[in-house]
Amino acid sequence: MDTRKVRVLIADDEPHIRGVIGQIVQSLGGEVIAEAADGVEALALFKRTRPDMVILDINMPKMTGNEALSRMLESDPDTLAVMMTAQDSIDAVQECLDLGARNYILKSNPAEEIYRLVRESWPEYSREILARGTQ
Amino acid sequence: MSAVAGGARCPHCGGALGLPVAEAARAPGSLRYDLVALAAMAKSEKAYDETVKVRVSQEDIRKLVEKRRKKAK
Repeated sequence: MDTRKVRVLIADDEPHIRGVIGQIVQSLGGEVIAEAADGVEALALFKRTRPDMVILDINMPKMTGNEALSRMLESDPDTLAVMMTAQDSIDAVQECLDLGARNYILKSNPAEEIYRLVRESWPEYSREILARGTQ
Repeated sequence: MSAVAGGARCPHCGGALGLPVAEAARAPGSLRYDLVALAAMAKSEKAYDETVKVRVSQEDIRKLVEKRRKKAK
């Protein structure tokens, strides 16, 4: 059985948000392997570190999260992507899901709710990722 | 200023003088905007639809994600 940790890249231009997400990931047994403050950095780190999962903001300097997501999935279609953003329009949600994001979490949720939402889907995501690693 | 009666017009806006506002707005050549008529037109043409953003809650998103997941299976 593969007992390695799920490797996560976090991209958000707000350092405190990256910190909160990082704590959540670590508390669930994941490993934050890289953090990016903009879309360009996120894409570069993605290519360099090849994470299992990316947690992306949409509104970031230099390159939007959507653009970064699109390029990441072009590079590796198996990447599991979760959007975490303040954008709460149906168009934004649908665009990200169409691009291939697996989930979409609103930053407007209280921190406990964000934790609950990530924790809820974590077992499924990690099973999928780790199973991929053993194939 | 022109006389009130006999089709006199305001030299600035061209509106008929001596008429009630609504009537003056409908007068030929009037440059006044009939806001009531414009509002009715905007409503019938849904002129503001482009600016309206449909906001979603986390629960809406959960349902949407679930629906797509089932569809993908």
